[in-house]
Amino acid sequence: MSTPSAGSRWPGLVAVAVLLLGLWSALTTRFQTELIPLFPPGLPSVRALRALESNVAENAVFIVPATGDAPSPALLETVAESLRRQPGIARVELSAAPPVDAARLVAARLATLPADRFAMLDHLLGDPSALAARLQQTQADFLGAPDPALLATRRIDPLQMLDLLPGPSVLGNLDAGGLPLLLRASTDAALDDFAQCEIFVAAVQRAIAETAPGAFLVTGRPAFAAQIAGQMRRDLTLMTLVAVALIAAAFWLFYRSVVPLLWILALQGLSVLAALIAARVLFAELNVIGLAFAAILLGVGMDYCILVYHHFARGERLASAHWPMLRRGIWLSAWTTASAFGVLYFASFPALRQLAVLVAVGLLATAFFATTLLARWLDGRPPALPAWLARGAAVAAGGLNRWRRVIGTCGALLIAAILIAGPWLLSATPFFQTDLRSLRPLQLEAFRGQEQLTRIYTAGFRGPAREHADPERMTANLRAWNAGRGPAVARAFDAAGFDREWAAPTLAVLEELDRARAAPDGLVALAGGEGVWVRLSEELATVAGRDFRRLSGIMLACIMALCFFAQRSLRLVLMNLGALAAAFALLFAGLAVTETPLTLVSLLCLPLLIGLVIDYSLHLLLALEEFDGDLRAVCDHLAAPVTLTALTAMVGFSAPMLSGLPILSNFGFVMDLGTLSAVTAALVLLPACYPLLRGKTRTAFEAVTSSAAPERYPFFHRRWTYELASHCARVVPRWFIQGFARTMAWLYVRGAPQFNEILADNLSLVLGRRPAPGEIARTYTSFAVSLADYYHLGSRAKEDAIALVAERLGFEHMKAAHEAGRGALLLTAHLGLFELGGVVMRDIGFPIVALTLPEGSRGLSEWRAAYRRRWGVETLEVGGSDQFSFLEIQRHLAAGKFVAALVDRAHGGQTSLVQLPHGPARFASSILLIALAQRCPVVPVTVTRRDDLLYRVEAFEPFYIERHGSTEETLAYYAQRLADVFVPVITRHPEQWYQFVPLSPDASASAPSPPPSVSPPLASVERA
Amino acid sequence: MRADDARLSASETRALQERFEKRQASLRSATVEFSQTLSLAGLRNPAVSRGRIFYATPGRLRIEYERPAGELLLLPGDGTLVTRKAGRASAVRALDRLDERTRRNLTLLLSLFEGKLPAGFAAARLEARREGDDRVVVTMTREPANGSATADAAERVDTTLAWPLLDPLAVSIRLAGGAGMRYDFGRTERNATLTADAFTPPLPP
Repeated sequence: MSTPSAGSRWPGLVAVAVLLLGLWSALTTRFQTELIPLFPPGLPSVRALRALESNVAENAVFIVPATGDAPSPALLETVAESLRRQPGIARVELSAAPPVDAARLVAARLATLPADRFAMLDHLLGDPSALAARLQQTQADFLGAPDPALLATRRIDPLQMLDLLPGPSVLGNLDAGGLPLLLRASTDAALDDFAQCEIFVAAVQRAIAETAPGAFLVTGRPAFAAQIAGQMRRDLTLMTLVAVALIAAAFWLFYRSVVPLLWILALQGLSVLAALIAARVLFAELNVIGLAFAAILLGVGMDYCILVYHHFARGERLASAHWPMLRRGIWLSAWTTASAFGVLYFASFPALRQLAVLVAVGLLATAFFATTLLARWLDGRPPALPAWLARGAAVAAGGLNRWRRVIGTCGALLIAAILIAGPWLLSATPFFQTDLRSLRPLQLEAFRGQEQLTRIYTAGFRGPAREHADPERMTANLRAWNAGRGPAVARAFDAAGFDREWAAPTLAVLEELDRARAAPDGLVALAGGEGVWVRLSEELATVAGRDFRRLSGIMLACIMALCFFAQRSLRLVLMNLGALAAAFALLFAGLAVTETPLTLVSLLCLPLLIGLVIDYSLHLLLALEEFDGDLRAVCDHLAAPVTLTALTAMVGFSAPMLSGLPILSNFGFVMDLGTLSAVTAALVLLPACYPLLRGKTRTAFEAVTSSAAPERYPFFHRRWTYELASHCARVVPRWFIQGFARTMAWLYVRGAPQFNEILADNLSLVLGRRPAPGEIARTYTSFAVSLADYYHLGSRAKEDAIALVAERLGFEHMKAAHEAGRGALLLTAHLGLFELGGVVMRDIGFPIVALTLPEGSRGLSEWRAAYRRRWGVETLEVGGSDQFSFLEIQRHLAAGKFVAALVDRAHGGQTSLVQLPHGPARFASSILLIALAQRCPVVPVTVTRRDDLLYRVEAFEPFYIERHGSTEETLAYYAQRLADVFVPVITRHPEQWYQFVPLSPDASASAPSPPPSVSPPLASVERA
Repeated sequence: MRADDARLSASETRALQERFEKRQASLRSATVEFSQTLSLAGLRNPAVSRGRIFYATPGRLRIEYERPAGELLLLPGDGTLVTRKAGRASAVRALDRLDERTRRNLTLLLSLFEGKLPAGFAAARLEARREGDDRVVVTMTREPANGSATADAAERVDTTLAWPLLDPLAVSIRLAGGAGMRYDFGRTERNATLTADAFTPPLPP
């Protein structure tokens, strides 16, 4: 068997392109290091944090006292001198100007007043006489001995509003200079990336270390960028090194092999680059936290590489029968996991959107490289499988076999118990922890400095701590705030003899409060301390919950659709979902036992867990189906690689624990629990329960070859799908629907390798060689064009169909048969668009009946009969439970009609072995018995498509059935005669011979079910 | 007579300064009524206070306000500052704990009685001009340090003296930011007999 992707050169070209583009992406992507952009930008608390951050200058840092004590002027001057000596520092200012707008600071403090005091403020501002009295008092304060500090205070706050604030006055405890003096260092450098930020901040920190070590904190955007980048680099390096080392150790312990491991790691690196390219194109910038997670998650991709390695280590090759199945399993698994994550692209969190792209593209790239480059490399240098792995697999299979009932029962009981206890588990405290205060980067000097800076400017040195500021109280105050008092207050100032400049600071504060009443974000941030983080937690929890409800349904639908696409069996999909439910139940039980809460970050494990479980269970189920439930064979193929991949995944997810951040430790632990649950569900419970769930369902091959029962059709082989396709074909031109069909076929051919193999086997019977991948693809696209024409004609007049037939050959034979009045059997093969034969017959006036088997639904049978009826072609449904259809055929022949049927495939009735040029095949032959009984001629007919997309209908010389020995020998003789007629046509048009089920009598009984599009619609006239 | 004609030359100004210093050096005590006008930019009604100043060597000053009544500022000469707002208890602070700007403003009046240049005006530009026949105005202008004035510190002091006795008639202090303080004095009673407790900090009520 061939593997078209692994055998061609273009995967190598893709790798080179990925390498080059990936390096370009790595060099040009802006790696963003801040925390706030990870959150939905529209949230009020996020806007508040942004507002706070934006108040700090872009290319400057503040040097803030580490404690609440004001530094001495001499110390400040010493540090300033040291700063001026540092390279890259352009300006050093000793400034009292606050880094945030003073009016906003005052408004923030006022807004957090206790309700009664805030009401006093509100009353003062609403009472003109109280305003006049307060301003008179201020004027009185200017009498007597001048007090510069008092003058400064009254100058800013003539209404003495700040006296309402508890504790030391905002300005009262400051020296006569008013606001505290702080050092501000700025640079002329652009500070576009964090490397430049690091240089600048390092210079500042050096100056501090030389003069006053430990006395100051450096904050501001450059400090955040530099410090987060530094920390992330350390964490990333540590996590990556540890993860790679542990994964390599695990791989070596399992397989005792080094060079393939290096190849696998190199391919993983290529996959990371591929993900980076996608992120570069879509986002232009990337948060390093997202990148870190993505790096961990790509550990899942090891799964694919290990499965491929194990395949070759077992002595199998690209040509092995199992390889197409494995490759398909890997691709479907990659698509499923990528889809689970891809859905996160529609989440509200920018970080999740980045993560979705990184993981989805990374996984698909890994699947691609694993099934192409790695497979080809391993095919040329097959590794050896350590003996103990085979023995271990046998032991595991034996154990599963022996204890399967116990395991199944225990598993069922456990899952039932967990599901019953589910509501309690979900409501248990602290099952879901929404508090994001642990996300605050307290370890960052820049963050502590920013907190300190805000504290100093809102409360002054030695001011009260604001950690317990209550955002709820602020929100309530702002709701009660009577906006629009500014004009009345301005008039009061004017009446009291104060010009506008005296009223300006007060009016600015009132404007801030007015503005905050409508949008309180900025003030919450300024006044908040931890409050804004509490609010952020609540808002993020709400958004996450909404996203979870919105996206989980889509995610589940995607997964189910992909599982269905992979397995084409509702039973297997339900088994997948059962494994998923079991894994989740085990995870939640594990969380409850270990009292580990889920956080917003560890919620990420849910899609990942879905991906892992589907990944494992998909491979297991495909293998169980392939080996007909033989656990020994399944364990031989999968036990070691799945165990190893689970181990590597757990190692990967343990890496974040090294960062020391509680939130990341929680994520790592939850993911380890999830992986363990996935392995238990997929590798233990699923195989144990498989025989119970499998029941008496026939194998796929049995479904194809034994009878023509309707359940052989896929779910979409229904009337509505045909109607829909026909409606669509009505509004688009033929070339368009043909193009669309070609594209879909091109995609399909890559998702159904087992059908490629069957097709190749069948074609080799005629060609005498394995068809090239391109030839197989052409068969699919040719079939798709036939389907497109079928739908195209379904919505158009008979004349349109006739117009597609450019050549009619040998019709004189049919004319003779028609004139003889005994009817005729028109026997054809699965070639071209054989439905067209019927319309041509009617066009020249021959009555014709098409034989069909029951369709997937009664509705579809009726729809298709009506389709033919438009052309004057009758439909006779045979098979199923109607034992008298034989007589009905005879009746039609006796009436002088032509009866059409397909014979080049076995489909339940009597078959005969025929010799094709390069091997035997089975043809349906029972229909020939009717010709024998009826003494009617048999006319072989073919319908093939020409290069100009028009059709050629050719009738061959008719013959009569004569006895040649026994009935079987007679049928075999004439079946061979038919084959001899068809083979030259098939040889001329191999791409138009649509045989997607095994023809060879040696075909394995484990052959999969036919592709969904095989039987409809062209097979409708086939089975006699 | 034109204003330019009234300006004293540098030597005349120096002579005037020496004469004033000499006269004030002979002053042992003094008492004078005053009115204080604080003008602030944007404040249409200046704040006008009134009271009496008591001075005695060495370096003692008592400013007793009648408007606002009961307010007091006292430099007892022991390195402290005593202040009392109307209706409140007095507060005592060490002068050297005050910031320089406050200390300069407080000692500005004291330097007038002592016949010295106010603190911070040692390098100030000094000018004098005659105003009519009975007064002379001495202007001290401080050069901005490092190109910028300190906020709220006195930039310029105009002292009006009676001619030829050189008794202080008024002091006008211009502050940065457009603010201004002016003291107008009544008749100065030189070497007056002061009560013994004139410079004793008031007892708490």
